[in-house]
Amino acid sequence: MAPEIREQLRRAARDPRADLDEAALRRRVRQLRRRRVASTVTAVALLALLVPLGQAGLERLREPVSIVDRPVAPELVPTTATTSPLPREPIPSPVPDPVRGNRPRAGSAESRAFGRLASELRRCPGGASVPADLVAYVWSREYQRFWMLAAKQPRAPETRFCWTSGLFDAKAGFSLWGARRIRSPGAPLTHMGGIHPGFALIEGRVTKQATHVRLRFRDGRPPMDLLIIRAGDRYPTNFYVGFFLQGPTSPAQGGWAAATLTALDAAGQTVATCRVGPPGDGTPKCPGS
Amino acid sequence: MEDPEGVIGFCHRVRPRLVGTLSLLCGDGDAAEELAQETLARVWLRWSRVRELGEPRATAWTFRVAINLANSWVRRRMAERRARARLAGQAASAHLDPDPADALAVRQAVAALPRRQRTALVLRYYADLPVAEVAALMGCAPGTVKSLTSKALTALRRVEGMHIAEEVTDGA
Repeated sequence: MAPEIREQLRRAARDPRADLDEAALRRRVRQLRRRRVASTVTAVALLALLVPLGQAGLERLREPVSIVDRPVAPELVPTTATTSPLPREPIPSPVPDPVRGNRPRAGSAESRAFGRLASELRRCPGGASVPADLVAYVWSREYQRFWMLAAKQPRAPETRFCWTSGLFDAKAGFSLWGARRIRSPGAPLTHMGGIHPGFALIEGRVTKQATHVRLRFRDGRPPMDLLIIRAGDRYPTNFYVGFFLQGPTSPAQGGWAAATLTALDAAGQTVATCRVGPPGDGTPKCPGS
Repeated sequence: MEDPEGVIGFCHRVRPRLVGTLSLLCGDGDAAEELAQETLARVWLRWSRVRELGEPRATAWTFRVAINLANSWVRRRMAERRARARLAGQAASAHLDPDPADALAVRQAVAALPRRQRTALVLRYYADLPVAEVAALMGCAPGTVKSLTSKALTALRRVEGMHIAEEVTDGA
């Protein structure tokens, strides 16, 4: 049997039309070599750029700095570290509505970042037929980054929704963005964190009942109220985000600074609380976003 | 042309089998020639290390590169076809093949096989690589290679124009 199939395959396979074109092969090898050199040079240049930036980030750790400080669009109220009691009246949402129709200027870093997030969301149920919403984005001048959140609403009968977020630099390069997530509203408070040179990002979903998300730390610094992103009626949940100072997380360096998250309603009542740091007082761990 | 390091000689030796293998994996003779050229360029680029492997393992490594390129090419072409079909509202037009009908039937039958079955069959029975070598190239167990080739042969037997005896003996 083997000789038969071998013979049939041999007859079906194409023979080369001509002899090996050595000159063309040499040209292609030269081209690949040049490309390899160019990649190496680019990598070295980027490294040379990133090392001073990382050092600058570490320098900044020695001084107290503010958190999210310059929202660009939509108009966002900056978050502040606070120990004050909650106000009696609900605080107006810093993001009243999703900013659909308020797309960033074409060609801008924000526009490119949204393109990447929208591309990620195309892998969700509905594919490209359901357009992605740019829910919000917020700049931090201090950290020279902006965080962007995009989502895709479910189309009936689908009840799950899809969202994704990313942290981008001013050129939308070296962006880090989470994979798409598909979840029912589920837990009232979820969390995801990321460490970057000199700072950390914390983000997640929070029930619409909550008007505050308060982050407490393990190293004695005052608690911080994170920025709540209202996603509007199209989505069953709101979101939150915050930046905070974070050094290396080895135990010798103090470890991960964040301890617990608490979602509070307008009356100051706890809606949900969970742990984002190491186990300690029995507070349950926050589910992932 | 000079060939102080032996790379050109190696390329001459391996190329016919490479083009044939790629033509069966891709179902396209022109693409097979281009992919073979690209494979050999990559071999040349890393020749200082590849030649230390010795000829049999260097050949196996070359086929590994070729399979990766062929898989990428097939994926790309499938996406292009889907996009074209969506735009035109119909499948892309058939490719005219100048080869005899039986060769065409075999090529179409091989192209219709699932990717791993096709790879196992072509490497085993066209490239004449031993089962262990094919398993190493495909990153699976020798038993899996035997199972894949057996399934591929069963599928080919159902195709008109393919005359393959029932008995399967694997001499690896």
